[in-house]
Amino acid sequence: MNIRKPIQIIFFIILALLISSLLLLIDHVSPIAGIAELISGGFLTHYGLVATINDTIPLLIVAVAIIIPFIAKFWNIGGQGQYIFGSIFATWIGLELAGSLPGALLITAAIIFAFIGGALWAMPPTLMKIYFGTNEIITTLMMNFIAVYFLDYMTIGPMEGSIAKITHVPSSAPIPSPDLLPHIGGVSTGIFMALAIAVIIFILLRYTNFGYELKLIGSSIDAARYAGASLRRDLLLSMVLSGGIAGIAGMIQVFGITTVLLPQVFSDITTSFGYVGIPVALVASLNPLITIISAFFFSGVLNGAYAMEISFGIPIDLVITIYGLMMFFAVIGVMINLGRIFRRSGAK
Amino acid sequence: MMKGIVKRFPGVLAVDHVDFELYPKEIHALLGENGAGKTTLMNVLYGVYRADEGQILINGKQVRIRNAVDAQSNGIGMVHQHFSLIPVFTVKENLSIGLRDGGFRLNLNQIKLKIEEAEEKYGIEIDIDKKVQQLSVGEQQRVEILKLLFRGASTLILDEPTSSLTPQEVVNLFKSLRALQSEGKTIVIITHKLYEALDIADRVTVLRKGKVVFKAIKEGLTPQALTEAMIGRSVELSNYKMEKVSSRNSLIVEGLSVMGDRNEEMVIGASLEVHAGEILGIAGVSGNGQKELIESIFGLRASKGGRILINGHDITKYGVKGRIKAGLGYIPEERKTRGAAISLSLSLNSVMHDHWGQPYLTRGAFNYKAIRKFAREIISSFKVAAKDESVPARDLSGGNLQKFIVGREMMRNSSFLMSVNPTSGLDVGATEYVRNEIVSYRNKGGGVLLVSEDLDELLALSDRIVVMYRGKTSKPVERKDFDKLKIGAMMLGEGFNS
Repeated sequence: MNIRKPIQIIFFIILALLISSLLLLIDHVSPIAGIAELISGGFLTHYGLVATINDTIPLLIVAVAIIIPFIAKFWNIGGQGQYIFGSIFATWIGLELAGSLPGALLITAAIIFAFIGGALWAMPPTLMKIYFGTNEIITTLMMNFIAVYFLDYMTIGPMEGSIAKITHVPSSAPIPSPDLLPHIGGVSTGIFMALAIAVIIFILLRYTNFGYELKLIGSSIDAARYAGASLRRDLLLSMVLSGGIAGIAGMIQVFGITTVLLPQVFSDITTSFGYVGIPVALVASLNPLITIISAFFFSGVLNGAYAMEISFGIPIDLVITIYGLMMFFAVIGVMINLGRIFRRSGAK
Repeated sequence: MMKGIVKRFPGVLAVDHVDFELYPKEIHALLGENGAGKTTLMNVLYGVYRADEGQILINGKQVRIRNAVDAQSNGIGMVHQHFSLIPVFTVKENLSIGLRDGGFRLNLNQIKLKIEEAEEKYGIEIDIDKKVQQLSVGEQQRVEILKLLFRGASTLILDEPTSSLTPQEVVNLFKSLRALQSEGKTIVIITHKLYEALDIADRVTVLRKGKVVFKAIKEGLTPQALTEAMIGRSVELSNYKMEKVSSRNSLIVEGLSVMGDRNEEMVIGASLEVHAGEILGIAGVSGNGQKELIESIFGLRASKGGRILINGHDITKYGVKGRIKAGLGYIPEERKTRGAAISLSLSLNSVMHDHWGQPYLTRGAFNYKAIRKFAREIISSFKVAAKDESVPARDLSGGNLQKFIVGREMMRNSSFLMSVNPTSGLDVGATEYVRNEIVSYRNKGGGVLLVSEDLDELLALSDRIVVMYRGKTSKPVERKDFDKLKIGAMMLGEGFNS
């Protein structure tokens, strides 16, 4: 990654802040105070920082998961569905085995099941791509919609918890507290798993033959074939890993944060990490280590936006609009070459 | 006229203070080696690139050309090496794109009349109701030229117009160009083939390393003078030292049949044998199954019948990787899409055929130190003009990329090498270099299967030549029996019973 992209990203984020300032003015809030609150509420206050780190966990894992097939230009838009299926599988095994296994073993089982759930959900689009050449963007996206409603059904049907029957908010029974991921000062220990996954995938992509073949495929399919890469195997493996890791994010979210399977969390845009993970990965130029920074940054922006809502009484929709603007502009910062545009207009 | 033009790319000064004059109604050859800056210079004139310095004057008046539309409104048109026609549209439809008169509705009949008029005027013949994908390369080129004329171009720039044409098509092209000239058009042809420049041009400008090194009018030009100007030194043409090598190793193809992309049998029972220490040339008019044969031998295309053996070892059921491991190398014609992954660094490109084992993959992990070292060795031994091994392959000019690919395939441990049109699009210097490397690979005991559309190249390099015609292979012709006319006749089907 050269120096151009970070500078452009910062430039465009400032641009996003300027537009946000206009929106704040319309809502009769001082832009300076608003943006100060955004920064402190997301990154500087203790409460904000804890929330930011906790949000970073699933966002980082799902973004890293998406990177793997993206390197081969296989556009897995289905991170959300894979994330949901991981959480369903993990919750199911967690409730099923509660009390019969010690916490650590149960958590391990839940991780494995989450991986399997996410990987399985990634298979239909992958196999259809391999054998029939269907467009994965469409099929992975469709699988998300099915997953969202399947989760809804599970939590009002087979997995409905006793509280849900009273509150009428769909959710599963809670995972018993001895089986939950421990917290340190409010931060879920899932953060260590997230960081480990980012590092492992970075190493996998940079140092293994598999990672190399994905890069070849991403550069030119014909060149990859010429280099002796096994396209089908690589694609399949990349999607097993991608779906599986997105699934693990679902497990960590349930066992670390929500403690119950809560469809609400999976349908709200801001917590639909399978979607949000895409711009987060792109802003990081598909580098898992840089994704740590981008996931943290955008989680901070989200929590800062919430802080603005609370401190100034700004409508939630406006603060999320600001969050969306930041993300949109950051992605633009990666995708275009400002220097070239300036040079061109300078020559006029 | 272009004055003091400078164009920089990251790390390269592509065009260095070039003055280039073009007079009305002349045919001007812009000559130079690959990467000399010919195409870049003309792309500045056509508005594809913007010059970092310098100005463009037309009839003494400075003009600003920011894009192709500006260029067209100044009467400048350019045919790039890769055509910009829409394959599924007919000629007529392609020609109507971008025509401004007539509003929204296409008046195809009126266009037809205009085309016929143009055909008559310039002696260009074309079936305008055919789809472009059904046309030969030569015909497509004519469509491109017509397109420019339609848009009112008075100056035509043609980038390497003969690189994929048959000799007959070249003759026709030059005839058309002369007709255009007599109709008052000005023509620039970008080329690295000096005989073509001598043949057609009224004036020649030679570029080397981004600078103008030679300008002259046709009278009094000699091939030697031009060659020297292009590469800065004289080269010996086609004088190769073929040493006798004895070995029993061989690459054998027996009765191979292969289907083509359109589900027709493109290779029909082809048989050939390449010995270690020899170059077996495959002659043939392009499209007679050579591409499918090579792809099938390398494992990129399934075979329908027949066997392939390396040193007695049957590799017919192997994948690409297995065949590479068995000792096969391949220099494809498609440098930018097959021979290299152009978005990746030269380091990563250097191990395309070695990424599964020592010394580049140690205990499952890439050894970047060893990989970079190998890439640097290729760059230095094969004189690849590249800043270092970390630049993406796309930053290299065509000739340099080819040198890099040739270097990679030669420095690996392979016993047989297949090479398809290894010098197409290369300048004199790079051509000589690549040919010498192929010969030295042979002299070191390697076997080469050389496919080329350039019969002179095959005659110069091959120990034996097999001709392919409609998917079938001829018996090999020994070097002592080489006869250009005879092989030429075989390429047109003589001796093949169909």
